[in-house]
Amino acid sequence: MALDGLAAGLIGISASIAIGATAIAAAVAEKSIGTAAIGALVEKEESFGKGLILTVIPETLVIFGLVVAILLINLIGAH
Amino acid sequence: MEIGKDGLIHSLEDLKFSEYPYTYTRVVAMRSKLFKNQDYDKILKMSNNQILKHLQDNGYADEINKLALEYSGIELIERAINQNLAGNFSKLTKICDGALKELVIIYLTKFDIENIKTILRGKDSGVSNKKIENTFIPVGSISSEKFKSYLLKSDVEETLKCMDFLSKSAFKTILTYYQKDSNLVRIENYLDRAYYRTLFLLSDKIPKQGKVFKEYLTKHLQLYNILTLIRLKKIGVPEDRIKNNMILISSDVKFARTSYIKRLIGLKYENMLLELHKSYFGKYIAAGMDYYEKTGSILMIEVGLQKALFDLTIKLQHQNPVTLDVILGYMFAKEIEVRNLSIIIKGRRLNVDEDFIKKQLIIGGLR
Amino acid sequence: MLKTQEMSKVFMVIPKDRFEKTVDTLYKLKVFHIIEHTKTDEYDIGSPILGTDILSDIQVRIRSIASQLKINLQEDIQDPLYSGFVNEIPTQIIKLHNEVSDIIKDIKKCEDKKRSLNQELKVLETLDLFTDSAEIFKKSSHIVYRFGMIHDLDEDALILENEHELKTIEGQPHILIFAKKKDEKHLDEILGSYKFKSFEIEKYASDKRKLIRKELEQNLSQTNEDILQCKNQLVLLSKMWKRKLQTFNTIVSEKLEKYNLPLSMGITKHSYFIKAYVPTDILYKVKHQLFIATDRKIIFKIENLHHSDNVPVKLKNPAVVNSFEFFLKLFALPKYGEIDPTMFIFLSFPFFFGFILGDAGYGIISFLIFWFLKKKMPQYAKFFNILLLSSISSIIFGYIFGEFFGGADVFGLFTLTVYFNRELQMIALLVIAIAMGFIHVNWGLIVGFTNELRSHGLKKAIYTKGSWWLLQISVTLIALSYLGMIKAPVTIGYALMAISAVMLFLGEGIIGIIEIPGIFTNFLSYGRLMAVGASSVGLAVVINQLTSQVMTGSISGYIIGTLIFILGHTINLLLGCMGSFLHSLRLHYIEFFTKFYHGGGTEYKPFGTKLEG
Repeated sequence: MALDGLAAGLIGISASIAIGATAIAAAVAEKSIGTAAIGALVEKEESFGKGLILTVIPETLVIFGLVVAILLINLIGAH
Repeated sequence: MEIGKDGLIHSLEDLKFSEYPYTYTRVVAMRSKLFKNQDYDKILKMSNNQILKHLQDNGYADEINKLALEYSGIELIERAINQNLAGNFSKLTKICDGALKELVIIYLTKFDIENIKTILRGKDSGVSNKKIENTFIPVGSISSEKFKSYLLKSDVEETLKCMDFLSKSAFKTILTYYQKDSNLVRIENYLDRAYYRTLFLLSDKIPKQGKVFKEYLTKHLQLYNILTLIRLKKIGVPEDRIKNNMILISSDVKFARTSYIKRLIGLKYENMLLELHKSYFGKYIAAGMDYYEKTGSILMIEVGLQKALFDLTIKLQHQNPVTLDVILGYMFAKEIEVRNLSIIIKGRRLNVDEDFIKKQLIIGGLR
Repeated sequence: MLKTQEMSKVFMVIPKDRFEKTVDTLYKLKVFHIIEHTKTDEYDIGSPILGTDILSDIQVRIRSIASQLKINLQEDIQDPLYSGFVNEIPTQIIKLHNEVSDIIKDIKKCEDKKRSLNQELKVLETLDLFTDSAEIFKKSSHIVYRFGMIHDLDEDALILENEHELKTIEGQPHILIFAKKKDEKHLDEILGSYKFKSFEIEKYASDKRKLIRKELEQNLSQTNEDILQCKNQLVLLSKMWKRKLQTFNTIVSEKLEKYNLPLSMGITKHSYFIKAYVPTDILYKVKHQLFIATDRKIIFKIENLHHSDNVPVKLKNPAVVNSFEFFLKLFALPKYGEIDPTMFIFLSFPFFFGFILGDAGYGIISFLIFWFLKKKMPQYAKFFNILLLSSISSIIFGYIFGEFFGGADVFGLFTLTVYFNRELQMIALLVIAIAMGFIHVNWGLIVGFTNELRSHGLKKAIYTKGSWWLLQISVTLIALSYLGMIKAPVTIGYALMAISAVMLFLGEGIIGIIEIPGIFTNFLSYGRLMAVGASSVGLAVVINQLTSQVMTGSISGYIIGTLIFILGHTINLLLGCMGSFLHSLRLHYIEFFTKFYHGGGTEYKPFGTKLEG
């Protein structure tokens, strides 16, 4: 028996909030890091690699959000 | 909005200061390319031509390439490093934007004031226009053409009339000063005071980061006051005249507080130096004090004080890496680098001993 | 291949009278990575030897000339035609420098002249707009006139009374006004209050105006010609001197590099001393050469390497594999002593690239493009090798996935067997991607384990890397216990997890504990192999569907259809290549390297080789 329409809808919304919020958080974090990395890169080409790594570190946030979203979506189907 | 009645004209609505990570990192990278201890060791061993080549390898290439067609030797070096300074600062204004750019431009009016002072002093003492032109620093809002047009004015009063970055009331005050006793010192002091007042008011308008800016400014101000105090006391200028040359702001800052300064002025010279020794600047001027006792020259004290400020910029840069002191610190460090190179060249020309030249250089880290 | 070049540290003492011979040999051998001597209280650094002064001056001039003549000095050219003139270099360069400097001065003078001529012409033209007669200026001696620019004129009584004309030219008001001579002073005052800027037109106030104008124009065109001539002279000089200047530059900078070496050496009363790194396998050969060159008069000692030494790193990889050193140079060279991961990247980068792009048609097109580009730009050959290998990998995966420009149908000629359909089996693809992540990450841990084993011993290796394996085992046990697949109780799994956490803490401190969830996100991160790949397929399928819908049979249908096909697939190819490249690279740098790589190695730059850039 599938979940009641409202419950399913709410779960859907919460899943999207999970992904959306983490994506925004990662974007905000990477914004400053990315611009700073570019600034350093303009003057010193060697800093490309380290700059790239530091910029993508916050991506883990999105993966957490993704996991939560998948788990939530499963709740709809599980019943 | 003008700053008070006696300030420089700048519209200072609340500067909306936001984040500028690109500019900060880029400036930090630029600072890391400035000369370090080992570079100065090498430069001290080089002849003038070798220095030119070394500078060409390390960031001064554009200026030297262009100027080498007209000049050579010492003159080439001096012109190249001054132009490089100007070039770097205009690069700074290009890579900053928004409120940060406004701030940098206001900070750079310091050079406008320097240029004006040079003209006034030159005209007052009758130096030829050509010589005055050689000391022009092309940073700030006064362009080369404007500078030349100021030079063409017949005397000091005419030059004063064309300083258009002052407010009307400020201009009137200066004119009266000059007409009263033809003394440039009061005018110069007035300009400096206006400059610092502007900066302090500015630092109040910047949320959060303004505090660090203020810290830097206060130390700068203290330095200025102490240096003036030492110099004037040494020559034996009467007390009230000394006070007129200080820049005093009514705050809790030690060397800018009226009462404290008054007391220092009242002391005998040696006691005053001892008093300085006890303060924050003590450890920096210790070596200088010894030198003073031996030779009676305050040169090394001045070097020590500048060193204090230099170390402060390094400290501030590490403590607050993503704020505007990074920019200020860089500007100061670049000026110091140019100054160091200048000292080496001049010292070499006068056959000064290498070790002594080295002592006068301001290099990072307490030695 | 997995190790970088082994280095030894040598310490040399060179008597001052043997300096030139020694430095020539050092330069010729091109194997010594010099350790700069920093000035200490006991030992100062040396001064450059005599002769560098003149050479430095010449070098400065050469560079200055090159920047004016737009000659590129970066290329390391030494034309044998000019190499014989070594002794004449200073005189020739100084002569050339003066020549260029004179031409530049001439250009400057001409430009100044041009500017003033243009200004005069402008005044003349402006005047012509008011009146072209000379009569009105000849009135009587009681009349004076003023002509020039004015700001915000407000009609004033005196001005109105007098004959005047006001025109706005290029947005700027200009005025020509006549007045009685007795009112001259008053007129000037009024004009002054409106910021009047006067133009000198005495010489135009005559019949000869047209003549004067012609003369000015002639002068202007003559000046322009002069400027052009000067610039042509420069171009001519540039062509004439290009190779010669480049050769001279190479010779001079070589000499300077040699003669400036004392700045990096320590100095005593009678000799110089210096330390350097040399590859171990040629150590004795090099020692032998030096002894021959200097009559055995130098001291050459081998020192032990310290743990804290910053030993330079020279990568040693076979032919095709070394193309992938590009990725290490981009990021960070390995620290001396740790494993060189180029070989691993050689295996896994094209694999991931192909997995993501996964289309035989795209693979073939990109292969051809990169092959062409490699021929065109041979200096980037190594970089294109990487891309060529990746294209081949895409073709292979395209064959497995049965994708040729998105579909299994190869231009109607034959159909590819679809061994694995990316579109329909997305979940399976995701599982495979994460499984590959599992393998890649653990591969990294194995490499890390080996590194730690070599440098710090078994115990440290187990604590820092072995703990991760225990962690993974414990999590698997917990999961299996919950799912009821094994009979063991859940507590064993939790216990093992706790033990692994403790081990990690002992090995890496609190940072290790914080990183624990990190490893699982790393696995999930490989999900992008599926996600980016799926988007590429999806787009290709859509383009194909659009094309087949449009290709209805009419000619316009065919044309539009072909356009959509070509344009769409080109864009998808570009996106696909970029995405595959960046994502594979990111997986290597972040998920793979963080498991074992220290980095921070210095590049091996021996004395005598040109520094890059």
